[in-house]
Amino acid sequence: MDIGDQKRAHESFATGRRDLEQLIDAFPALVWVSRPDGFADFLNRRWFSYTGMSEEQSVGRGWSVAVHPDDRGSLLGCWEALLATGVSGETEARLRRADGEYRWFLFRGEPVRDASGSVSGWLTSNIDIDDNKRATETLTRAERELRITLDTIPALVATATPDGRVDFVNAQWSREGFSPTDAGDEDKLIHPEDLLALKGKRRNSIATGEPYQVEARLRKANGQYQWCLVSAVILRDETGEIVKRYSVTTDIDARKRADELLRASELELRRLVDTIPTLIWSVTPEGEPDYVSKRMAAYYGRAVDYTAPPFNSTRLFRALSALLHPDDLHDVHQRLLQCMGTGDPFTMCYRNRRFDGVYRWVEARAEPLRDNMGRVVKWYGVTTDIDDQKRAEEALRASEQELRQLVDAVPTLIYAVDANGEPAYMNERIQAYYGVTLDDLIEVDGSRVRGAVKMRVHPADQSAVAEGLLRSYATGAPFAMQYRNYRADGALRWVESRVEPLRDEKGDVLRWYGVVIDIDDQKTAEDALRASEARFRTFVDHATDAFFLMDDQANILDVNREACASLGYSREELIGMRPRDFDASLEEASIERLMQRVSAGETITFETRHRRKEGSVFPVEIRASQFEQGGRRYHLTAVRDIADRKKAEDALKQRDAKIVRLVESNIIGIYFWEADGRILDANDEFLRIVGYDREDLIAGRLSWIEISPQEWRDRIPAQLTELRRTRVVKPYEKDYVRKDGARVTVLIYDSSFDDTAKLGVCFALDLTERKRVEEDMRAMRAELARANRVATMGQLSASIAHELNQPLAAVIANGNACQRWLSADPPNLKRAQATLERIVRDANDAADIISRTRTLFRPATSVRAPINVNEVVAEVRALVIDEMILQGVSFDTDLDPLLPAVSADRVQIQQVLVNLLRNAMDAMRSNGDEPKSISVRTGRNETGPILIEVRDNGPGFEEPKQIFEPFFTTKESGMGMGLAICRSIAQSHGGEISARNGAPRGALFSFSLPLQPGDLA
Amino acid sequence: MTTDPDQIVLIVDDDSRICAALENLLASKGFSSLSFPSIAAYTQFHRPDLPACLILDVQLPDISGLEFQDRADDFHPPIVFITGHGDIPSSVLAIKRGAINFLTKPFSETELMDSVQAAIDRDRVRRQERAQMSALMKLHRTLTSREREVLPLIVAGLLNKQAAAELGISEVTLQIHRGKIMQKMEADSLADLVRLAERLQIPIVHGRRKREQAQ
Repeated sequence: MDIGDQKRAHESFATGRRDLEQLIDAFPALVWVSRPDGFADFLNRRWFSYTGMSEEQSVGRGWSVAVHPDDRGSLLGCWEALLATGVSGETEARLRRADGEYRWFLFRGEPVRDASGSVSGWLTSNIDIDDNKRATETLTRAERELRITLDTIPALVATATPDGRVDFVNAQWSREGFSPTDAGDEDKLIHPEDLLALKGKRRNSIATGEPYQVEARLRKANGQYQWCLVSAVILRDETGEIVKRYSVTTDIDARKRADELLRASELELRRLVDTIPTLIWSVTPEGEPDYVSKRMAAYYGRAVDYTAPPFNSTRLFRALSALLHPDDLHDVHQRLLQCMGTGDPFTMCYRNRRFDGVYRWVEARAEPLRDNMGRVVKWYGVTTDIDDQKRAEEALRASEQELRQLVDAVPTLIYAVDANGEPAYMNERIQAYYGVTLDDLIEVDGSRVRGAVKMRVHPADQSAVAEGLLRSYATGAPFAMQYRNYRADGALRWVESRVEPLRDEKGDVLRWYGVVIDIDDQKTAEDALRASEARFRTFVDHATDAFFLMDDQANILDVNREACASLGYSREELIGMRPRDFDASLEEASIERLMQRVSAGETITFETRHRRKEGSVFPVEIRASQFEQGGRRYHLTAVRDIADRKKAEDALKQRDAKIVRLVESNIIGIYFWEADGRILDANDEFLRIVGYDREDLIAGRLSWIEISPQEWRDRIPAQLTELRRTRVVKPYEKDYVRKDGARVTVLIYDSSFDDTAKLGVCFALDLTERKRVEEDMRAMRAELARANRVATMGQLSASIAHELNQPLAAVIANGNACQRWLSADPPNLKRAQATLERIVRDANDAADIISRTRTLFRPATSVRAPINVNEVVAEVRALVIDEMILQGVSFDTDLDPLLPAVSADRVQIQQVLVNLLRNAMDAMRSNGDEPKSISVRTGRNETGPILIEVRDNGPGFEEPKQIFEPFFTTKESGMGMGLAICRSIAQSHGGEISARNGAPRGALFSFSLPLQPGDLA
Repeated sequence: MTTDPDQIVLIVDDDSRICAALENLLASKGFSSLSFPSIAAYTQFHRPDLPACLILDVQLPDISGLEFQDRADDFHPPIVFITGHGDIPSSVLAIKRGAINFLTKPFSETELMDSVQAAIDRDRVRRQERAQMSALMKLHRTLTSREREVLPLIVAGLLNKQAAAELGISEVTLQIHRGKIMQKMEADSLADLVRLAERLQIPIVHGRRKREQAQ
């Protein structure tokens, strides 16, 4: 090649290159141009704008800096390889954008060859494939996830190409132990029997485009076949070409086996049902006949022909019309449809045609079978041939008719009630008797039988009759009762009613027949008899004696109620017993003897003792006699419980003994008198009192009038009068003149036996001794009082003496000492002087004591102020009331509200009152049973002094004059100073105090308090 | 006149006049005395170890004199009762219980002084007896147990031979014991020893028994 050419060539190249570079700049990609050795010497604008690099940075191999470091190596390697081989090539790598983000680019190097074919340079284009790349990656990920999903599905999933080659299986295959190739080998995988069906379905699916499902037995890795459901879809492209087949194979072996089991059990059931000698059938809820048992088929003589006309009706109607009597067809069909609509059980009797063409009565029953949700799944029916029964019933009805005519002719009241208790029939007689027909019976409480009862039965018997009847109907037991009812004419009559059931051969009640018999006449007679019997029985039963009716062998035949009550046995127990069974005293032999006497016609009475059932024994009196009746001899024994009589007798005896003891005890004189003076009897004490002896008494020498002194005899008539009136006179004291002429004082208690006062008893208590004792007591009390006075004086003087002796002893001792001090040598004058001083002091002490003692007896100077005496009484009452209550003393006051105030020493007046009240209480200590009472009265005689009176009901006193003397006392521990002080207080107030005996008893102190000159009257 | 420090009169009376008068009188007679207003005060006082006499009032504020007498022990000095008004039962009771006298106030000087003197004398004798007895008992305690066995046999009048036989020892041994006893008990003669034994109330049953056996 010459230079010129070369130059031209070069020039043309240079020209071309410039053009090219301009073109390249416009190119919508990153492009650069390299020399044959790969040195990039031109990069287009897009490169710089994308990478943000400069030309200096990019030329040569500088562009590789923009390549992602991970991709750079492989990209450069690829580039060198291209350069070396001179062929075009491409690779992907990430290229950094100006903002730093890497994007995927397709690097493509294309050699540029000159005419000689040698490489003159390289054109490299970088196309942004990032979006594309990312989309692909997303797709790949989705595919991977899908695969994982498919692998996780517990079913065998496979895809196949249109030519049948399996191109994908999921992991389940290997999990189940299949090898990857197994999925394509259908001949080996599918049971030969199912293979054909599978292939047929698939062909069909390919033809129609429908998905298909096949149940097939799949040979598992272990060689066993298991039932599977193969579901497949044929996928086509838009042109309709088959692209792929997807299949999913699910294990349904368990379900399949359960189905088979179910089918087997169903089959068994059906076989069972077929062997049952009943006609059994079923109908679907929609009314489709579903099943008839073999028996049924045999009964009808053929498989049920559903094809019979009218052909446009349902299969059910067709079946029914083939089997039923035309007259019943419509009703049965309607009823069946109705039941199916409502779900109610179906029951019906109708005629159907047996295999031999005979119509027979059947009873059909159908019940719905419901599932858990309560939906009807199926209707099961049973049909029973009841033709024979039906005929029997009809025959019966006919004979009944006949019977009814017969019954109506019978002169008895007859009626019938059906098995349900519904009145069914009344014969003419009963209608005439009650004036009621069957149609007249109304329902009462849901029962016409009750209605009938209500209409005609006596109200008192209604409930018993109605309940009895209904109970019979319910239980099947016969009924029989006597009761009162009303006849048509309104007469109340006793009837006897009987009801018996009529039963069929099975024992079920078909009908109740009732007979009513008017027994009123008979009843009236019976009642009369019964009443008479009852009266007699009552009479015997109410007898207070126990009656025993015995035969002549002493066996008890009957007893009355008292016999049962007294012995504690029941009547039933006693009947058949013998007297020895409860006789506690008599031996068999004695009873025998007694029986013989009775048998001889004697009425005997004897006492013995009977033993009660519980073992206690009581005395009885028995009267036994014999009588004859109807040629037999009976013993009638009346037994009387004499325990009370015995007791009364004993009590009487005891009382007599007590009285005798009383009379003979001679504590008190007792005599029985007559009004004329005679003494009928007297005890020893009385004889002793009056000094007579018993001989005088017996001889009648003792007259109660004569032994009364003359002054008493005058009172006798008056006393007798009082005795007649009151039967008793108040006890009184009187004297009797003793036989020796002396007088004796007695206390008399007199009493007459009756109003006439002709006879009586008198108790005389000898008072001689008591009088003497009283006398002694009085003397003794006086002596005691004297002794007390002496003792009190002694006590007082002793206490004064003690007080005085102390200083006196000191005086004497000191006197002695003084003597000693003075007579000493030399005389101890100092001590003598001191001693003398003591003597004077102690002697003065003694003088003081004496003067103090005197003041004890002298009222101190008193303070006078106007006082209300009533208030003072109230104050004192408060002071002593507790003590009074303690001693059982009642205290009352009678205060004059108009008393003027009086000047007095309040304390001294109180002192006087307290003193008087205390004395009264002390005095009443000896009252014994006599009630203790104190009363205080205040008052004033016109302008006179105020008076205070204190009254008690104690014993009073014997010497009212002396009691105010000092040291006079009647109390054991008294000083005898109280009343003396009272008197001195009274006197210091210008008043007086006096005492006297009250009437009938007690003491009365009167204390006068004159008004002072300053007081307001 | 000086008071005798060898004896003391004690007075219990709630009446200070009486106490003062008695002290005065006793002082004039040469007796030293101490008075107390109550038994409580008296019992709190520590009695001097001297022959003494107690003049005691019957009626006292705390416990009565008679009651105190009943409680007093054997070592208490004799009592002379004085009372404001004496009753016979109380005086009898007091004398029975060993009171020296029971004087009614006012009492005579002679009666009182005689009683006080008698009481102190009795107390003195009793104190001496007690001292002698305690000395004697002290001697007796020095005897060995064997000697204490021998002593009753000797004082019972048994011969040495008999006493030795009684104890199952030789006569010689017994004689040695006897000598020791005489020496220890400071007895001059057998009679002396018998008297001492009697005061010690040593029983002499053995001798009697021996005689009974001999009969």
